[in-house]
Amino acid sequence: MVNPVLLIVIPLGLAFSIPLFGFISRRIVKLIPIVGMLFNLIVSLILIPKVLNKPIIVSLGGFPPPFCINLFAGPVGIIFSFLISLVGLLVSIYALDYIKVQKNRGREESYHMLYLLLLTGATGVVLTGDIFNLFVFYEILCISSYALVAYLGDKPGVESASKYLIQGSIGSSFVLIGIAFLYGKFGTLNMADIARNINSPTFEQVFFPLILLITGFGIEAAIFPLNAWLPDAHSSAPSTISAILSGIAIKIGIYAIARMVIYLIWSIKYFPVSFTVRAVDSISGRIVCIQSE
Amino acid sequence: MIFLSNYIYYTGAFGLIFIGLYILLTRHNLIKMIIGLSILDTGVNLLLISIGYIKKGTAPIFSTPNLNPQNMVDPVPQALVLTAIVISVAVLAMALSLAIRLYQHYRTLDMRKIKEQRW
Amino acid sequence: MRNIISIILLIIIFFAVIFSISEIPFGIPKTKVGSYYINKGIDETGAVNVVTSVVLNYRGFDTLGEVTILFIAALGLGAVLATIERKTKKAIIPSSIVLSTGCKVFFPFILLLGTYIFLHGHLTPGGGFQGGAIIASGYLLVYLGCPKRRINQNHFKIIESLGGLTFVIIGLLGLIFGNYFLLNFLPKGIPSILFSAGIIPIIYIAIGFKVGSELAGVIDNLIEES
Repeated sequence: MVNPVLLIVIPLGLAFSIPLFGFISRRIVKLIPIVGMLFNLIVSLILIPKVLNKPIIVSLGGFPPPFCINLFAGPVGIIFSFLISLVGLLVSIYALDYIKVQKNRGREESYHMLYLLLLTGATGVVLTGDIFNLFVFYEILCISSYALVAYLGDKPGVESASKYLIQGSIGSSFVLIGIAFLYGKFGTLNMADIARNINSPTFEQVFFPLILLITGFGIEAAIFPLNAWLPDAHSSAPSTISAILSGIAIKIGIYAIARMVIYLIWSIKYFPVSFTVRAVDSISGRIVCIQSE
Repeated sequence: MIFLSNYIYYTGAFGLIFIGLYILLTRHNLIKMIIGLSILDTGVNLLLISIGYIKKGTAPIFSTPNLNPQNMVDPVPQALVLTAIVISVAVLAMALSLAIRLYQHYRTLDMRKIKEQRW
Repeated sequence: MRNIISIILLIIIFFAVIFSISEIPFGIPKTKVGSYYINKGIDETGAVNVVTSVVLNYRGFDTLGEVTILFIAALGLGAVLATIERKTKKAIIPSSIVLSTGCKVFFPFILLLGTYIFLHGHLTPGGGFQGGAIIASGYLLVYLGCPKRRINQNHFKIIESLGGLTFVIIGLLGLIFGNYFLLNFLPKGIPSILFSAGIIPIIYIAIGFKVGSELAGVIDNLIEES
């Protein structure tokens, strides 16, 4: 049986070794993201029938779960990682021809490295079972997308990337404040542990961290009042990155919000928050769209 | 006053966070915004560390083999802050490189004048 | 106008913060994982510094992510700044002989201090990231004091890649030998001796080299601009 850790570690190792391959020959560098995503695709397909029966919990480091980081590979996680690897594979085949050979060779390697690391970060977010680990992989995703939006170096790209960066890093600071409050209240960073003890404090004590987490992840998920960076970033990025940004990065933001609200706070049945957030978002999004037509 | 004397560390951390947010909301120069971002990150790190403090505790290092484990502070927030500091350094490096390129294209760093895109 | 609205918003958030921060008492032990790490840390990992054993052994996956983030930042900086063509070369003013000799004399001692800090990461406060930052500041001193010296960027790239690959390969060896990623599979030895604590010193050496060369590469890229 294949260990789900390999879904994260093998693309990471390949991304670290791209400069070494780049010294051997330049044509190999274009094929490495394809190899990494093909491996992920095959491993996810092998794991799907096994996790539909019973989710796999892998502990990293050999200690029992509350005292170490663990990966929680459930059906949602493995299906998401299958979709991420499928989209990543198709877009990287398109990018074989789209990213042409530049004059100085350092820049073409950087594109493939950043691309592979973005997909690694996305796979890490969906597979982890620990709050701070989710934050670290979410930051890998965000910082790679800041660098990739500005990859072409022309006027609109750099301007959109700087606005995206300022807003995105405010969001991640809010997420970190929310994590600090949750740690101070519950004493542990494991999501299963927090979900088990969620009924003991009263609701008002968990309300403020929940708002902070939804706002912080919502900047990346492009919820209505917080998506000022989205139109510029989509139009000024290279087309492969525009596809990945709207297909993967935003959906990972929504997945993180769903995980916080449903998995952590579900037991106290605070339904109305998530409903109002989604309702306000869809209705006002349509109103603004019609108005700016 | 009693509230302040007990929670002085939290007040200091949130004071830094609010100063950073105020700079980000009201200043137009990109370099000032980056300084505000750095102050915000510093405040968040201070908040994380001060959650793990135990009164009259020392550093969690067993320099002589028979130190009392009851008097040591919590080691987990220190590990979290190590990671958070490195993340804020990385974002700062990216932001500065974008500021250099932006100045090269537009010859100004005033964000009110850099408005060629829609928003 | 914008100032007043932002101050009102911040005051509203301030009251929400006051209400919820009073729920978290200050100075009282509130964790269960913290006391487990302090009590059982030396026996299970062999490192005298409990923070190092938390960073590298219990929560080692976060450190792998953090190393990746620094790698991405150095890479993104190189990619964004790489295509600026220089039209006129600015004249480089050479510095005086006292300044350049002084910087060259200090450089090996700063490297020595940084190496000491990341080598003894499991015994004293410190570790790979702190030692790497000190090494990069040594390079900064030489760049500022002797303006004509440059280092080949390819050397930095090779050291970075090898450092990252070492970390990943040690984790995979733990997977092969013991069925858990990042398992501490080397013998733990006696605590408070330099060669103890299994894989922890090896990973910190790799991280120290990697962070030092990465930050020195960032400084090199930024100085090329000015």
